[in-house]
Amino acid sequence: MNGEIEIDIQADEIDLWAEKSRDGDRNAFGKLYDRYMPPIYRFVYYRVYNKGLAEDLTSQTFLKAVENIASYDRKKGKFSSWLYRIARNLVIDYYRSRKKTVELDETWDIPSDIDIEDDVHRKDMAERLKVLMRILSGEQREIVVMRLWQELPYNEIAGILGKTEAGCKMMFSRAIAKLRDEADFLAVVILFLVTGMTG
Amino acid sequence: MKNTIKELINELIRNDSSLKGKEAELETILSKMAEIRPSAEPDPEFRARLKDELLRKLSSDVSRKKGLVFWLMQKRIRILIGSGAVICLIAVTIITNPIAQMTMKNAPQQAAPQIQQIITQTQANGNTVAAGTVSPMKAKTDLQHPPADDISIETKELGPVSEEAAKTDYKVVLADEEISQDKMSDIVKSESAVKVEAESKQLQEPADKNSLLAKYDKKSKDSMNAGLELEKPSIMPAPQIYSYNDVKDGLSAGKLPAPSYYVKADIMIESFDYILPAGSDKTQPLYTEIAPCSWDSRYALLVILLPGEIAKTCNYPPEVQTVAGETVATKWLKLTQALAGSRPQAVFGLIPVSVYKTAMTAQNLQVKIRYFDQSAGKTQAIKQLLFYPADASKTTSLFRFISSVSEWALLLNNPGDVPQGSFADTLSLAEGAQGAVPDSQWKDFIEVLKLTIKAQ
Repeated sequence: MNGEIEIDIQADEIDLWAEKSRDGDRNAFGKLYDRYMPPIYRFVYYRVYNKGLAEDLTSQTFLKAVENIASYDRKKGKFSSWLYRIARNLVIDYYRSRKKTVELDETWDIPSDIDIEDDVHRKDMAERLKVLMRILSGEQREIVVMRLWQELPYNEIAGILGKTEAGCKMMFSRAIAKLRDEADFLAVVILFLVTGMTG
Repeated sequence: MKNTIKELINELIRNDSSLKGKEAELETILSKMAEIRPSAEPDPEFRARLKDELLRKLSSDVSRKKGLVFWLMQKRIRILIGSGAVICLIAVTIITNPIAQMTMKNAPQQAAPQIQQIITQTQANGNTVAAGTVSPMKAKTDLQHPPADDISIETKELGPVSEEAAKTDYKVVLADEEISQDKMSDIVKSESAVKVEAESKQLQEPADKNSLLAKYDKKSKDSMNAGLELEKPSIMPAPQIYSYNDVKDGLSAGKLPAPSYYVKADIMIESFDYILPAGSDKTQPLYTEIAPCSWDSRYALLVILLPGEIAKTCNYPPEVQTVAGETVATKWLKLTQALAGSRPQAVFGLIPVSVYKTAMTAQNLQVKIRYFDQSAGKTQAIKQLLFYPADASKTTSLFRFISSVSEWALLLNNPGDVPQGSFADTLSLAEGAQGAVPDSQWKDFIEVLKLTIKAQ
């Protein structure tokens, strides 16, 4: 109960910051930025796996937010969901600009110049990441990343994807089931365990 | 993270009871998935720099919006003044309407310096016949006691006017005043002073004029009944150029803009706030992109996004040349107003497709533009190699959006300039161009394209 009240107060506070930002309150916008910049950056990075590009798209996300903050309507969803949606659209648009028509699945193509490979210790992890992510569909990958890596609550994920909370739970459940069923995944797990033991 | 994983396992079991008893397996999967999460923390320097930039932009955006309110207020005053002027002009037009003008023209020419009267006779059978003129008359009092030679009633067909007839059938109109029959009979009584002249020539002229007047009057009434079919007086100076909002308003009312040549491609292109494509090289002063033109297969479309500070002082049009310095013939977007410097300005040029194909292989085309560098206080020249997407399907959303707006504007202006263009194509191009401009503008333009197709 206390938790719910706390969440409501927090949401009100964020809306207050958004309201003040609309009137040009730099302090309020600064608070919003401090709160949401790192998660938005990670949200983008987990989709493009490139530091420079993630920075670029994060900048664009916040620039768009500044330009369109007047259009943010609390009734249509949380501020964070609105911000995540901007970031998500920019990522999709980025991939679309590379190909005229792309399915959502294709926006998750992990680029060959993935820069986490620069980190030697993580090179094998990057390989495993590529295999794992290919097992899942685009939406499943999104939901796994948001729920597991970013630890976003389902209501937030639902707001970003424009789906129901129950639908998101179902999708996550299916994604995990798919990972369990996939022989490739087991092979990767074995590989991971072997390299983990030897490493 | 461990807590999260446990929470997730519980959640999964709640959603799917068949997973009960497989907690260990689920934990392995989720743990491994969590472990391979790449570390992704933003660079603190980047974080601070972006914050500064955003806070600056926030302030300028808010002040611009305040400016917008002022502009709207100014606009409202202008609208009020404009409406007042229109009302005055309509009033003047009504007062000086053609019927009134015709009445004035029908006044006898010889009496022009004097006050004129027209005497009409209404006969018992209802026919209206011009009876003649009373001239010259100076005042009503003169008419009541006319001097001997002042009045002549000109009638041929009716012959001398009897006193009895005058009592019942005559009306004398003096300027805007009607003279009563009693006064008229007084006039008629002074037979010694009245000289009846029956000259057909004099009678004919006003009769003809009256019939013309009646004819015109009828025509005028018919026209009014037919919904004012007469040509409308041009009381407002028409704009020579339509703004994007003018076109949008017309389309919202289901009408294509007319005259079509008021639609200018550069004005339409200038109406949007362009966003530099993600991943573009920001060290380059200009953004360029060239690909086959969707509306004319003879050309390749070269899109250039000029930063505001270059746009406002540059020599337009730029020059396209090979790296060796040979100029390439280019059809540039015609400008109807100077490029502004408040934001990036998009322009386009058409290059023969044969040149483009050769250049694409050799990557040897560059754009050259001169501008006045205010910080250096001198004119600078930029030479920049063009960016070639691998093919038309790899173009950026910025390119597709500008291509769509250009094709749409050219189609509205003169479809002959756009041999292979269609509004449906512009819509499909625009739909694939999200991110080229702010989303609100992008959605708005798509709506406008749909309205255009509907109006068409």
